Amino acid sequence: MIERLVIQRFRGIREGELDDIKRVNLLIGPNNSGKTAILEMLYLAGTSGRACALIMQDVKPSVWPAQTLLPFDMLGVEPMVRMRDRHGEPKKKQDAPADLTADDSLSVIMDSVTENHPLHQFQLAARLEKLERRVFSKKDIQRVTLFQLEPWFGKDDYEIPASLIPPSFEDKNVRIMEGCRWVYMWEKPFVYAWNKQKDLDHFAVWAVFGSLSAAEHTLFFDFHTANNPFTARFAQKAYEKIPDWEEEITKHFIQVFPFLKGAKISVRPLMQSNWTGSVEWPGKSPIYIDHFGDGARHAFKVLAALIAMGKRVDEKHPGLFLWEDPELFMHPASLLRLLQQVMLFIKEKPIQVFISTQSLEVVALLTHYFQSEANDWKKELRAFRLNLEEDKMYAATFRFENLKAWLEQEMDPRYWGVSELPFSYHYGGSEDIILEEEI
Amino acid sequence: MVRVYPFGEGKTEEMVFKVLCTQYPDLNNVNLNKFVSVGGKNKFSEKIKETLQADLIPDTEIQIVVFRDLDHGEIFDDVAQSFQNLAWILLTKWNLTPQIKVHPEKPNIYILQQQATTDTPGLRLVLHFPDDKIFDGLNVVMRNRTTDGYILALGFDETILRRFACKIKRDASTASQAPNVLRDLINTYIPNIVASNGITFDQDKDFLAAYLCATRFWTVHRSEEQNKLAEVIMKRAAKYRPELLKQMFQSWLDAIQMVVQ
Repeated sequence: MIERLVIQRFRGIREGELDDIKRVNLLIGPNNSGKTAILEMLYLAGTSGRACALIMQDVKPSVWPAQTLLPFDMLGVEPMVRMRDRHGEPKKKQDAPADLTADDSLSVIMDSVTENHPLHQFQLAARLEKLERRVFSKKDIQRVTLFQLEPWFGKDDYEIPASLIPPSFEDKNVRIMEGCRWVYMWEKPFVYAWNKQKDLDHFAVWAVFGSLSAAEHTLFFDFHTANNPFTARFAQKAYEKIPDWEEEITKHFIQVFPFLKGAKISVRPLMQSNWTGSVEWPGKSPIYIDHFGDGARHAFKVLAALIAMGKRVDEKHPGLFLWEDPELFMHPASLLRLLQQVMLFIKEKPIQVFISTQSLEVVALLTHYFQSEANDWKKELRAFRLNLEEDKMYAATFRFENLKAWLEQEMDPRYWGVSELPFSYHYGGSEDIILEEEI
Repeated sequence: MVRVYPFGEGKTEEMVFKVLCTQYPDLNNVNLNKFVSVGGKNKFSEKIKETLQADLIPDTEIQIVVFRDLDHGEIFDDVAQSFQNLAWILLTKWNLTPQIKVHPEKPNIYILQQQATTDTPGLRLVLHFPDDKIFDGLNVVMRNRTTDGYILALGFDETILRRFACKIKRDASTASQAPNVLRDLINTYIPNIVASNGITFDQDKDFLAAYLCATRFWTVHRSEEQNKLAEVIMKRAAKYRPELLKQMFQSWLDAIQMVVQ
């Protein structure tokens, strides 16, 4: 389970930290406060499951164990294609600084970094023990934009070169060690753009403490996931390998939309090898879930993907569910039922969840859900109210009891400045209002 | 961004705070959080902890102003000590132990200050007790020092009592005597009758109940709530006796200003 995240120069965050992370984590706060950035950092770290070696010149040891992005995430999408798409960037980068060498290594040249810095030119290559395996192909020139450093082959005594340590990591005494991985990303739109003075400023660097889920157990669910059909790479595999996938989806989906009671949910291919769900009533033609409406489509995709992940995870191989805007397209009643289903599912499975939301309903519904839960499970709830001040990210950490107190006091935990609930005004009659003539 | 968290024992403190904020626009420059009524003096610690815990973040300062009544037998220093203990609990994670100190010029106001650093949060706590001077001017003896006592002191003002008299439509021939009649009813006749029948009558709330009775509050305002009576008194003071309101609640205003200094 991820326990802590320390951030240096990722997107709009110059510096920041998220600590005391638990099983169910809500990310709340104003726009541009870092909520989505955190999901993205965790997603990129989670999908970095391709073992490789980082080779730097003039550094001892010159070879470091590393991981980099896999070609596809759990849903069968290329991570960087997805990330670029989310930010309106071209899916393919024409100016990628990487190239494939004759021995199938990726060579990266960072022109903006001075020549004597270890990251001016470096290679990602097959690890020594797997030299016979081809790790990279030409497509990876576009795909690979980061590496994740690990402790030097299990030995904590090899110090990383000082020029690779972000100043804020030094200040916070963050060390590469077992249970703490550092991710270095060089694609420009994801690197904090301002005030680049040092060589390392051309990289976004973040440290993830705790155990990261494997890429096939990392699910990032966002607007695009809700709106697009499943890839065959994901859905066909799930369909073939999970015998009761459709039954499980049906069971949970009907809890969210009770009017579908009696129907069966199937997952079927569409054209262009994409897959989606359909509702089948006995004796009637199936109807694609997408034809029901946006809320149903969202809920179906969330449940289908989560159930598929849930079937693969166990205590040794936990899952990571990154969910952006659960309120997307959802009526409050359906949202409540969807959140209940997701929480019931997560409680039973070794899955950690991060939810970013703008919705007070999501905050209130989850708090309400936890209210009737046992104390041990209550302790697994955190809400982080994020804020950026001069591009430094601050995180206020709410436990269950803090959230409950705020909501009971009609205070809005999403705000830094104004805290009164937006709907706390009253339609009170004359009994509650002292009229001017009474004074 | 600095935020001020105001806390008080109950709804009366919340109402007083709101009226003061409306009456004195200077307070609008203070970034005030919603007033938290903790629901009884024993709940300050729990509610303050639950509310503030999340916002204790290194390199940022939070500011608290607490309006605390003083019950019979309590002394300022002991109560202040309990708030110091609370601050220490809030700051345990950072091993910080700031001292609470009485304000050099205001014996009813205590201040605790912990500066923020890049590694630790800042905390400024201003603790306000009712000002003894308010109660010295009251012609009644009360066991406690509470916000209701302030309301009562304000409610005994002649102008405000005269407004009540107008509303209850006393006989025109006795109208000029009305404020005195009401005052005597509230602070002498009703208490004496109640006490002479063996019923204890010594708290501010007892006097407010007498006030409700004497001013026919239910009949005129369709409410028996002391909080509504308090609001009417506060708003009448704001409208007809603003200088008195300011004078009475000067220590409240001082406390709010002190927290953001």
